[in-house]
Parts: sequence; structure tokens; C-alpha cells
Amino acid sequence: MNRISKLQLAAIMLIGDAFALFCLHCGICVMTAVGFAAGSLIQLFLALPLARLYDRGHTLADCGRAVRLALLAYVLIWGGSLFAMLWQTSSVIYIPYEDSGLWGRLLTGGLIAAVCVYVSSTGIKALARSAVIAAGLGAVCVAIVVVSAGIQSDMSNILRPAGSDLPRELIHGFAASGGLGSFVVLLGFTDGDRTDAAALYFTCKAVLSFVVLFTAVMVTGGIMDVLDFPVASAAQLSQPFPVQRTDSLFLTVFSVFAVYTAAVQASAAEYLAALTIPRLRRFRCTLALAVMVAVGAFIGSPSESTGLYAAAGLAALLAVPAESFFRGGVLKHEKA
Amino acid sequence: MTRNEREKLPIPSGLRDNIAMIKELSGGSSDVLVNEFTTGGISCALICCEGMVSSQTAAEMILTPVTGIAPQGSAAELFRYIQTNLLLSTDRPEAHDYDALFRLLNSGFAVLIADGADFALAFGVQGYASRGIQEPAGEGNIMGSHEGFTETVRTNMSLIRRRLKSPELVMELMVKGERSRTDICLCYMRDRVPVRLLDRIRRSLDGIKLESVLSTGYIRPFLEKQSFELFSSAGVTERPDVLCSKLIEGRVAVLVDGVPYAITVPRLLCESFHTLDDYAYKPYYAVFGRWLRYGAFIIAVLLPAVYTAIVMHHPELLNSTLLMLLADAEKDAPLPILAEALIVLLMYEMIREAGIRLPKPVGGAVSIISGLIIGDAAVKSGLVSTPLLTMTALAVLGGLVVPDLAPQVTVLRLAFLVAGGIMGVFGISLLACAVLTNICATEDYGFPFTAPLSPFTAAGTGDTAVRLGMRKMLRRGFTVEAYHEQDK
Repeated sequence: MNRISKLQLAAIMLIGDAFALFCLHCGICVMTAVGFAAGSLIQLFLALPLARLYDRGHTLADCGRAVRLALLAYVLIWGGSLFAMLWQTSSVIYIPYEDSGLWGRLLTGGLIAAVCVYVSSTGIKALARSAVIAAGLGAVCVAIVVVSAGIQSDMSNILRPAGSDLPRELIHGFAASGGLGSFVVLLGFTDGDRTDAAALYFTCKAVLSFVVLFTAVMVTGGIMDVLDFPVASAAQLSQPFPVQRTDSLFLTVFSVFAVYTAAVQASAAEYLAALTIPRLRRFRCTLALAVMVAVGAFIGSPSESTGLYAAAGLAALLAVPAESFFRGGVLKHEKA
Repeated sequence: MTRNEREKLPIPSGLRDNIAMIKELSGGSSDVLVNEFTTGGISCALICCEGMVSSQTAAEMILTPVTGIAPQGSAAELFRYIQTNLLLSTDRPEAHDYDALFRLLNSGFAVLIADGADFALAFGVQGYASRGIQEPAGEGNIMGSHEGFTETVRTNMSLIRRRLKSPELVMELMVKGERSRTDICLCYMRDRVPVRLLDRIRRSLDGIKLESVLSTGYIRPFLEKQSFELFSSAGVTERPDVLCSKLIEGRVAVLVDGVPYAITVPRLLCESFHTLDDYAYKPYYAVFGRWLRYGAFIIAVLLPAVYTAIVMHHPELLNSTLLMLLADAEKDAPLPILAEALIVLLMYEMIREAGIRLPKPVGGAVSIISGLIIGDAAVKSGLVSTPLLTMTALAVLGGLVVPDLAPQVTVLRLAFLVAGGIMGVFGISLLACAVLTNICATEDYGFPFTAPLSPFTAAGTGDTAVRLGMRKMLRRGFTVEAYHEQDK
């Protein structure tokens, strides 16, 4: 059976989180950075029962069909949201033919989906290995962007009045963590102590969210009101050299992360579909991606319905332990 | 009875029948020589293949001593006398059927048959013409040995044995190819090789069902996974010293008779960037050389694509001075940059192919004429711009730094160029994802091709990202098993 290490799990999941941050479609402030980081730590706390359950040998195959179906729906809807975010964000990032209306969007989405089909078809091991390399390269590029942004940052932006309070930003952070569905799936594939794996991932996620959002606030704080995509705009505004632009780094990272994020969702959906709908034997991954693209065409980004997405994320983390708990209780009751 | 069935027949004791069968099975081939004589009072025949044996050795070491044997009671006694009292050659196998007899005959053995004996004695007196040991053409080296493998498997075995005098070095000979009956030698260090790897390679070799084995390319597919892999997970070397270093690291090698290359399994991506000179120079220079090769590989694959993508789709990424220079150079070019780049790259590949295939003196001339005259004419006529030609030349130069990956570099360079030309940096990124995943999916016998980078193995970075000093390297006691990913 394919197994992945905790480092690979963290790399796969962080790529998805970074992509969601790049596509963030709302005004942000320092409180947003704090809210996202705190939200990650709460997610760690909520993921502990799941990790303990997996450590005791529980698998998704032991769950009820309803839970698996709900997880599958969540993974597919989040996958659709990723495509929606990609199309929205590409309005500020130049992708050839993207601005040629519907066909341009379909071409971009179709190309990403095609690469995703291939990436997913190689299996979770290959995906995890390549995700580590992609995450490493992405980290270097993000570091360059963050450092160059740091040079041009305006510290007075910290003191700008926060447009939001912590609870709202916590919900916002949960809504942007749509990868929790695939986390539930991939944690089951992880070798070793799952609690350690979850701790590594959520800690890294908290740090990444805080650094990226804080840097974006420092750079774009003064013009936040006129920006649609603060993180993407911050990357474009922060140029380390006076005569040379470095936007291509961001575009490269954006495209690569888009592919891996969608591929992870597709792989998770494929696995859940295999468990839930065993009659569906072929083209599960292609079908999952087709559904995601179709969903993406009809729904908006998570920023437009944060409460709903946050609740879904929370439910994804708690569904498996809760079901196991109740089922255990019922069995005990029946035995008695 | 089919030919194959007849070949499996045991050798009869009658000399006449025996000779008749040999002539029939060989189809009366004129290079099969049958020398009949009588010795020890028994009629015998010495059979050999013309050109495969050394006539002088055969006459001095076999015919002269054998013909002087005192009368013996029977053929069995004659053969026993030869076996126990005469040391005619160091390699003296017996053949009990025609299959074995012809294999020995075609391997340069002289075969002795006698009236009344139901088996044949063979003597290794090979004397066929073969190329001497020369400097390897494809794996240049400054400080190391200048010996390369030859086409003769036994010479290659001796080249390895001379460097590894350990009794732990094992060489197993086997025959593959129903028609070619090619000798194949499996080499490994008994105390270093992972047992599971050896068993699985043996099984892979057992599964080879080929008519002939004429190059390493016939064997390699059987040692690799069947899925589509851009990079080969079985390596090839023409240097005995490189092979010995791989054997010491616990790898398995396969030598093929008639081919001056050895296959090594498993192969890792990082090996393509290593040279034997890395271990001859000081570590700091070796590290510099290694990173130069990593960079050259990236340039070789991506430079034309990135240049085309930026000029066609992202000109804002260029600084103003460079933009003006490029605009000035490209304004007179009649073709789009993508077409220009494709033409230049394909032209280079044609020149390279012509240089390889043509006779050496003509090939060199073709390269010079093509490079200088056609290249210069293309720029002067405005068909190709100078900056593009410069980028392409740099990319080609980068590819030459890592000759081991030349086929992959060639194809990927063109693929990335098309992706970059059509979809810009976005296209390059998408293709990079697919290629990266393909590389990471390459894995044979449980050894990931991308190790020690991913999955990350800290112990492996000492000889990949950097090159530790020799004392530290030896203290590590590294074998390739450190990279093995168990199937769980």
C-alpha cells in the first residue's frame, strides 16, 4: 500500500494552503494574520482525535457510507472552489488566453485538469515526492517575494485600524482551509505517529499563514481598499531590483501550486469514490476533476460564503471521530 | 523432429553419426572445421569454428599433446587420460548435448569428440579478433584511469576483477538470446548488495525471452518498470572504475558480450551529475563542479523556453535596456520567435545527428560547415536573431555538460519550448509539474530515482548536494540500501 511520510503530508497540504492564501479575495489586516494562525492551532486541537483514531488502526473504510459520501462531496466542492479561485485570481496575474472569455477560462482550467489527471494517475507516493520538491522550490520563491516585500513594507500599516475582529477572522481562516477534507484522507496514509504528523502540518500552516498575510498587510495596507487580491498584489508590488521585475516567480509558484492543490483534491476524491462507490471502477480521477471544473464554474470563492465553508471544514475534521464515537457507543449499548 | 529438439539430443557415441549430425545442424557452414585424426588407437575429431580460435594455440596446446597419447582401451579411458594427465587449457568444460556443444563451439572453444564417447571435451582456445582496451569515448575523465570496457565480456570481467580483488566480488555468467546465445555476466559484491534487489534482478533476467541480445538496450527494458518513464532507472557506464564504485555501493551490474557498456541497477538521478574526477579534486572544487552541472542541466532544458515565453508573453519582466536590445534584434526577423527557436534547435539536432552518423572525417567537416556557414548565414540574412541564437547555443552547451541525460534534455528542451511559446510561464510551469511527477514516479526495485532529495535522506546529501572529504565519506559506510523505500 502507498504510504507517505509526515514531511510529505505537510508539503502536500501546505501547497494547498499557500494557494488558498494567494487567491484570498478580501481585505486583510494584521488581525487576519493572527486569526488565520490561531485558526490553524485550533484545527490542530480538533484534529487530535482523528489522529489518535488512525493511530489505533481505524481507517476511512471503517466509517459509515454517509460520512465518506459527505467527505467526498466536501472534497469535490472545495476542488471546484479552487478552480473558481484560480479563474478569479488570474484577472490580476497574466495567463495567456485567460482573458479571451469563457474559452480562455476553459482552456486554463482544462490544461490544469489535464496535468492533474496525469499527476494523480502516478499514485500518492509520486505525488507526495514531487510535492516536497515543489514545496521546497515554492518556499524559496515565496521567501524571495517575502524578503523583497519586507524591504518595501510600511510598518505603520500594523497600526491601521483593523477592519475585522478575531472571531470573524478565525471563521475566515477556517473557510480558507478547505484542504481539511483531503487532510482527513491523507492522514490515514501517513506513516508513523499521526499526532506528530498533524502537529507538524498545522504548526507550519500557522507560521506560513502568519508570515504571508503579515507581509501582504505590510506592503498593501495603505491601498487595501482598492485591492481585490491582497496577497497576489503584494507579490506584484514588491520588486527586489530597481530595473528587473520578479513577477514570473510568483506566476510559476501560483501555477505549480494550483496543479498540486487540484491534484491532491482529485486523488482524495478518487480514494473516497473507490470506498464509497465501488461500482465506479474506471476514470474516477478524471470524473472527479470534471465535477470540480463544473462545480467551479457555478460557485464562487470561499470568501463569499465563509460561514458555510468554515462549518464544512470543522465538520470534516470531526466527522470521522464523532461517527466512531457514536458507533462505538451504539455497539456497547447493543452488547449490553 | 524440429531443429530445437535435435539440438537437445544427447551426443551419440559413434564418431561418424556424431560428425554427420554436427554438419547437419550447422547446415554445412563453411566456418565449422572438422579435423579428424587418430590418437591412442581411437578415431577422434577436433571441431572448431574458423576465426574463433587461435590456430597457433590450438596446434601447440591441443593437437600436439593429444596426438602423442599412447594407446588407450576405450574412448572413455582416452578422455579420462586427457582430463587427468594433460593440462591443455584452463577452461575445459564438457558438452553432453548438441546445444552445449554448439554454444561452446561458437564461443571459441575447440571441441574434441571421439569414437565411442557419448560426450565431448571442450578447450578454451579463443583467438577471435577484438578491439583492445581504449579510452572511453563518452565518459571523459582527467585524473582517473583511461581504460574503458571493450566488446569482449571476459576482458571486461578481468577489468573489474583487477580493480576489486575481493573474494566478495561475484560474477555469474549466463546465456540469453535464443539465436544469439549472448553471454551475460551478473556482477555484484556479495557483502554489499541488498539480497532482495539481487533476487528481483535475477527474476527479471530470467524473464528475458529474446531472439538476440545485441546491445544493452535489449536488456534494460527488462530491468525497468513497464510504465512510461522519461528517465531510465537503469544506468550505463563504459568505465570499469565507475562500475567498481557502484558495485561497492551495493549496486548490481550486468555485462553483455559484444557491448562495451555495463548496465547498473539501481540508478539515481543524482548519479548523472557525478564524475570520477569529483573524487580526485578537493571537495570545494568538486562541489563547484557538481552545482555547475546542476545549473547547466536547468539551463539546457529551460533557457530557450523561458526566453521565448518572456519575449512573447511577459515582456514586462525584461528590464528596459534588455527589452530595447531584443526589440531591435527581433524587428527584422521574419518568423515568430517560437518558430525561430524551433528551427534553430532542430537544425542543431540535425547537425549533431549528421556528425554522429557520418564517417568521422566527413562528420567533423559537416559540423564545421553547418555551424559556421549555415549559422552565420542565418543570422546575417535575418532569418534568426542573434540573441535567440546565443540562448540556443548556451542551452546546447549546457546539455553537453551532462551527456548522460542527452536524450532527455533534447526532448524536454523542445517540449518546454513549445509550452513556453504557446502558454508562457504558465505553460512552462504546468509542463514542469508533469515532468517532475514523472521523475518522482520513476522507481525500480523500491529505489526512488529522486533519492536522496525526495524522499529526503540526510545521509545521502554528503555525496549529492556537496562532496564530503574522503575520510568522512569512508566513515559513512554508505550503500545504496539506505535509499530503499520499503513497500508497506
